[in-house]
Amino acid sequence: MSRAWQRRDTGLTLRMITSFMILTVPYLVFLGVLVYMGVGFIPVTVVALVLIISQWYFSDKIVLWSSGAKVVTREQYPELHGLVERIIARNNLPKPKIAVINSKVPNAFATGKSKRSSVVAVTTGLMDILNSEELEGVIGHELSHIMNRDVLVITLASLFSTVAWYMMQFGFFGGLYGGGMGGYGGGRDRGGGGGAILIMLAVAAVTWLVSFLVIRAISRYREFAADRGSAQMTGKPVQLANALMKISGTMQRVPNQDLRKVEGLNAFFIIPVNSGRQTIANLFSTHPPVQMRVQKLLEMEASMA
Amino acid sequence: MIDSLLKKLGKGSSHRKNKDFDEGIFALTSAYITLQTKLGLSSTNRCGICIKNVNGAYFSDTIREVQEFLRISSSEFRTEHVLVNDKLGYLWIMLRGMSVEDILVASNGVADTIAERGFRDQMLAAVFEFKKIVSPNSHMESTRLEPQFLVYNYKRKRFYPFVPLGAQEKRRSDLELTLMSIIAKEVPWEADMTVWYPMWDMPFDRLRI
Repeated sequence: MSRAWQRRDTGLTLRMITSFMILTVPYLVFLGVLVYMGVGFIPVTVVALVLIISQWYFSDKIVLWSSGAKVVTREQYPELHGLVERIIARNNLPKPKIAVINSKVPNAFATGKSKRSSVVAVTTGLMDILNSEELEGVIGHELSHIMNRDVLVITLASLFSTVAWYMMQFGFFGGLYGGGMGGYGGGRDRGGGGGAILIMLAVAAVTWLVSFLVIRAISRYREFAADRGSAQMTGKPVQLANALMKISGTMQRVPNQDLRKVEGLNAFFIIPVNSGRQTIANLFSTHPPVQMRVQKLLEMEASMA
Repeated sequence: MIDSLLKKLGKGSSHRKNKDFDEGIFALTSAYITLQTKLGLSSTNRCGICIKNVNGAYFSDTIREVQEFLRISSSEFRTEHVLVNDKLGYLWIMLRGMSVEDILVASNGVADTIAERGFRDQMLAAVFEFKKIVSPNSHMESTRLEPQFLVYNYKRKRFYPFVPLGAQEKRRSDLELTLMSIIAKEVPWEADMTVWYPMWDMPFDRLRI
């Protein structure tokens, strides 16, 4: 039994390590420059760390509060609770809290610091448009995020980005301050100090940009991982594919116009599928394109059937 | 002049024929077994080849040649055929055989003949019909008896599913996805769902079942 979707994901682990290296190296270089310059970076780092840690610590509360999700009891939503309980019983998982958001927009998310204190939230709109099997697929996806500790991973990854961001700010104001001091001190230090600050700013900017992109790459990859996790939990990847298409409105984009009527336009035959058009957009998005996720899910379905 | 041009085009096309023409369509010879065993969806051994009509003697000659080919080969491939002109200006060559292999070989002969005469670009799609096998003592859902189609787009050389729902031009996207997922490993399939164009009112009723 070693079908593609069941194998342990060494690719994921490798990518994580590489990502952290990419994030850490410019960060250390940046710190080195700061130390060399004798700038008091400790206060900034402390502030950034405190912010990051509290962001992680309060992540569930912040997310629940900002999304307007309400934790619901078994009595309020017996079917939703039943559905979650079926999945967790089959897969021997701890039961998360269940929250509902009163919104027409179909969506779902998971949050929480640990496997035991996690929350899965769904919107009322999601429950309206999905049937129970599709909803199971989506909840499986969210439970996989919890199992993979994705909140922690993304928060950790964000640490570098955020720290770099604060340092960029600090570098900028430090630059003004340093310039002033240079003026006060006068003499030959002036030009050198300005140059170093510029370098520092540039390194911080690059650190921030690189980490921003890497976080998004990690995030996209974790989405695929969660899709695969859901497929394993429910055994029905095609249901999640259906759900994704419904949520994204792709279901509506499956055309209704007859092939014979559009043949004359002919343009669509020439445009290569998955051409470079979307690459830039992909670089900045946290979720991979639905089409790619659906395709992977269908391949999983094919190997499971 | 146009004739000679078409002949040249035809020649050019037939040179490429073996390399890239319709290899993918033969993937159906294994995929239909997968559909049968995993979905209980069996081939009705009927298919329709949809060709854009052209006015002119040369095209008519080509079609006569195709008919002649089908007439001669009918005993060998155990196929029968009907030609239907639809309301949208397309010619349908409807084929019915004893097996998927038969209709594939026959349809490939048709496609080859048309391509050799330079009308490759007129060929739109080959559509294969499938139906759920229902055991006599099971109570069945009404939708299960609706035909499900695999459309092979000649220009993109890929398959995509089409499951119409009733007569009101709606489709069952969920069944389409399931159908595609089962054979995604075996056939070249259209990953871009925005070109899964339906084909309403196909003249399958002009063939015997």
